[in-house]
Amino acid sequence: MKINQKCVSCKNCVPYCPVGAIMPSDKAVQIDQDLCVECGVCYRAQVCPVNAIYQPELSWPRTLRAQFSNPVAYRHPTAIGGRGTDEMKTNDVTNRFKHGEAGFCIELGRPGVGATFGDLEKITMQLVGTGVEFEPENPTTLLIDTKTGRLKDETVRSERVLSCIVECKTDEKRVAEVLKALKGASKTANTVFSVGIINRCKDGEIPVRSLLARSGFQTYPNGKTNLGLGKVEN
Amino acid sequence: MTHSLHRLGTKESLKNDYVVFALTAAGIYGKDLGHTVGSAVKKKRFFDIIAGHNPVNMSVSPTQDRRRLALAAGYSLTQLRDGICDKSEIYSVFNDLDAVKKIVRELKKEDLGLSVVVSGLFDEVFKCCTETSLTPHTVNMSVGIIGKMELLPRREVLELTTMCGHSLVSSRLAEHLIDKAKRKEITPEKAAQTLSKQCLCGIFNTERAAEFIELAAALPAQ
Repeated sequence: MKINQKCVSCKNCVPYCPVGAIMPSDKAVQIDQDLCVECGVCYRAQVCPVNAIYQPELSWPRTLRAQFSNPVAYRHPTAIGGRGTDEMKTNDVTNRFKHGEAGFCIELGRPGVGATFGDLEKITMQLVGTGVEFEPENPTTLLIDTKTGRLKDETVRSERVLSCIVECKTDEKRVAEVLKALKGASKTANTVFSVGIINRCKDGEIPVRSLLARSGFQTYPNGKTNLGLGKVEN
Repeated sequence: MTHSLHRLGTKESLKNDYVVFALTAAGIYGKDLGHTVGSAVKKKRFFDIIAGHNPVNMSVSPTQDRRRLALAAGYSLTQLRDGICDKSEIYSVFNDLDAVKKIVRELKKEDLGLSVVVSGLFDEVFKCCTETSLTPHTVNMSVGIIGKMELLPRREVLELTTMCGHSLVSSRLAEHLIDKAKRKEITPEKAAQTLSKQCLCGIFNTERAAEFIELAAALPAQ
């Protein structure tokens, strides 16, 4: 996002930026182009009295910022829309996660910190060593070599996004091992990440919950439950 | 995308926060499973059931013209409903567990075939399933936040901002509005509405946010 010369420095837009990229000044407010993740929040908020905020034409690799950060951006350089797949939301129809498997949704930059694809690479390189299976339909999977975890295109490394999600899965018995690897990787990444674990229920229970508890990992009391109502007719 | 996961709060505050949504699978690994085509009629029925139980917020995305419409952004129920197409996902948030229980009962009876997810306290959602003779299929649990925790805002702000899973609700805006509420320049309700407008998916719980803002504004200055 950019601000043109019409800016009257009212600073109304400054707090709206989720990553603090809008820099106040007495003359004209500016957007730090390194920090800006192209989420479009400042533009959509419509708080600029002179409509000075605008979305410039983006080119590769900056287009990735908008794809991963702006839910209403329709340019999809990775050819997969949004930040992730339907993961477990439609699992009652897709069977993406089977009994005995644990899925991971590792969302870098969330909540509200932002991350670079360099941070992503640090996490995926660590994950490769655990033998997880990366989700082929996830947009970050297309950016990395799934054998090494390295970025395929080094020019994207410094691009910043509001968040990006690594989706992968493994045998549910190995869930603690993967979490420990993530904790190790977190020491080198300059961001935070929110981690979700997907598991098929069995007899009304969540098998992986007790495995996590035994390994000393706490889970939130709240989360997502697919009710199992989905089906395809015929 | 896991945007209704990781909502932060005490168990007490989470008792008033349930996200209910429906979608269809576009397919998997290049294979169309036939779940989406012709689903708009069923989604409209889902929408009517949800709308009949007084949601705090609600949205439809994408609409026929590829927009995201949410009640909190000023769109009406009619505009949302008219926008529903086969690809639409319908989101809602409730502060009343009884309403969610009634919705789940109605959905089971209607047997629409849509994938339905309820995000909220697992104990309550599982109890609701048992009472409705439903067996929960799959869960997504949060193990929380890992990494450079010093980059995060204070907990009172995170409780607000994590209600938008796309992180579109700025922590700076939350702080700014809490400050204004502290100075009585804005009501907690109005401040919550301002935050809610930034959440495109309509899963930001405006009523819960107003309570958080009121509590945060009452805290001593940082």
